Amino acid sequence: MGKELLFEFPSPSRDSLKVYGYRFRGNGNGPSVAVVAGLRGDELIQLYVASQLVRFLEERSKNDPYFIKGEVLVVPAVNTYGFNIDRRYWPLDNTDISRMFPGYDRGETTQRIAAYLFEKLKGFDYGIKLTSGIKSVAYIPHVKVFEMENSDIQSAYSFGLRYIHRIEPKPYDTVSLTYNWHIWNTKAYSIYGGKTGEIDFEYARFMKNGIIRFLSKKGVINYRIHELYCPTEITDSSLYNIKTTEAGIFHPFRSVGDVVVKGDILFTIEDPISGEEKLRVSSPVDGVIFQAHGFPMIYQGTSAFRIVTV
Amino acid sequence: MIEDIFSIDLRVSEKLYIKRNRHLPENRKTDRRISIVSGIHGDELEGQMVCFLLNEFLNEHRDRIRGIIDIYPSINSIGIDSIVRNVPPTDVDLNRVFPGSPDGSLPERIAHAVVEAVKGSDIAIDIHSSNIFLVEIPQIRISEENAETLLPLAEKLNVDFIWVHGAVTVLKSTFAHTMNSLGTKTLVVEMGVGMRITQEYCYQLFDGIINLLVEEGFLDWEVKKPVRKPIISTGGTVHFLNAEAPGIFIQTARHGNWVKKGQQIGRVVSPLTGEVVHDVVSPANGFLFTLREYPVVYQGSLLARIYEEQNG
Repeated sequence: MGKELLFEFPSPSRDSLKVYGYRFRGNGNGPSVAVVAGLRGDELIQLYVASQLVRFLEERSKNDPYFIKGEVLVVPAVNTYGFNIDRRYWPLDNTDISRMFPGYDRGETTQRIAAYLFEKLKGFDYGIKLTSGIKSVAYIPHVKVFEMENSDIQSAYSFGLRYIHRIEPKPYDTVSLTYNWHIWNTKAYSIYGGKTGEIDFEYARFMKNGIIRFLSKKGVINYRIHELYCPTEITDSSLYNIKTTEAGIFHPFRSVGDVVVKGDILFTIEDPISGEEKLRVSSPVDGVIFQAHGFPMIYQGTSAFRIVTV
Repeated sequence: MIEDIFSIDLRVSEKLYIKRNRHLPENRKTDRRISIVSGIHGDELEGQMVCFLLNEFLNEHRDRIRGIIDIYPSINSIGIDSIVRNVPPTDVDLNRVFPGSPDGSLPERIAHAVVEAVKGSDIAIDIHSSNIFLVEIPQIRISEENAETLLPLAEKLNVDFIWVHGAVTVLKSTFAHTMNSLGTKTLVVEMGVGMRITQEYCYQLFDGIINLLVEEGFLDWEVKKPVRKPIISTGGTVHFLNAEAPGIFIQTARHGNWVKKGQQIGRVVSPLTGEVVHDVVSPANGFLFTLREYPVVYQGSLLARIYEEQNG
């Protein structure tokens, strides 16, 4: 119970890498859930959500011996080396721990780190990974589930987040934590929200409450929480991609989560030298903004918005 | 003939270009095409010199060209000019997003454009230079599923080693896998070390590519000396040596040589305590074809690869 050092990994000159977990275990027969965040050093909102979840579980279980009915393990930060020096990936060789699963304990450094971590994450009934998507793209809080043989899409409704994105795994997904959880018979979910390098505190609360709702509905904790959304299941074909045909200053008029109707102005592109407006784009569809380019400049051909149409 | 195969506007007063140099046979019509590709990783530079040598040679011998020879020196063009391995500013490894997509992120769009340009070639050669961590002898890597079709071509390229390895799912996102699945016989060359040029390897591969161009009918030329007969990994085992402790790796064996079982390859040392934390010795009699070049290591960092031949 409480804080435990899951593993420690030595370094040539800097302090050793220490990966901590918080474990909460009850006396009941409730299911077990592992929550992992911070596989990349720029996943700040994910780190924050996980640490706030730890705080919530710690405070509740301290005052109520019957609060925990199953088991919860929360791992808020794995790539702490990256967090400490503003690096997304493993600082020495720039490899992505998040794409090294199930890991290999005789292999390369980040394969070993993934293997040591995965060893601690196996055998749970449910696995939740808090993750970012493309760097500097902002996402609406949602759950992503791989469509695989033993996927449990129905349980994704328990988060009560607005969307459940069903997706066929691509070749590079086969080395992700969630894919390998599936292979090892853990029902796995990825939670997205916000963008890298930032903490949107309102989104963080949604995401934390989503996980609490999941724990509550699955009988892992003894707790009642309000419903939020009745989620909508979507696939890539529900997402309308709006690309910019011009490069320059990206000036958005709408943000993630906004409801837009056909004809609403979404963004303009302004020339970074002359200042003139080069492009004005209005929404071709009715829908909700699912993700948005999150940097004030943009390349030609880049996706500026993806809008959910239902 | 210099052609753009991809161009987009960047943010301020600049375009991102990916270019190729197309050499066409004079007064001849042919559909036979070979594509020589390099710079998928921006820190791998050996291919830059090989592409220069090829373009220089072909410019001087235009009348000897018998098929279409396309040379793409710098796929990750901005990465090369900025000493960045992955596609700036995304930090995405281009060789993990093939076949790409016209509607995806910047690396996916670049990958898509490269596939569209190279598609239809009979042969492609993708020249890599290891990375900044490891030095490699000139070698070709082939996945088992393609071994039968690719081995005869690989043997023409004047390399020292051909490594036929088991398929890893994630490597299905590479340029070579994509092109092979689209019917272009694609060979991956690894040699040298990142951010540097090993000239002798460049000349060696240049000779090999000329030999292949001649043997495959792209060039009418007399090759004066025979190419090397490579060691092929299917007759033995590849041993991986990883660091057991963090520290600084000091090489003691020479790269590209045969080593004996028990022979020291190097030492991982602690600069602070003065201790040797890992005495790295060869597990077998074999050929040291990969050796760690970058000294800082963690547990697991690859130090060497040794090929052991089974029963001679």
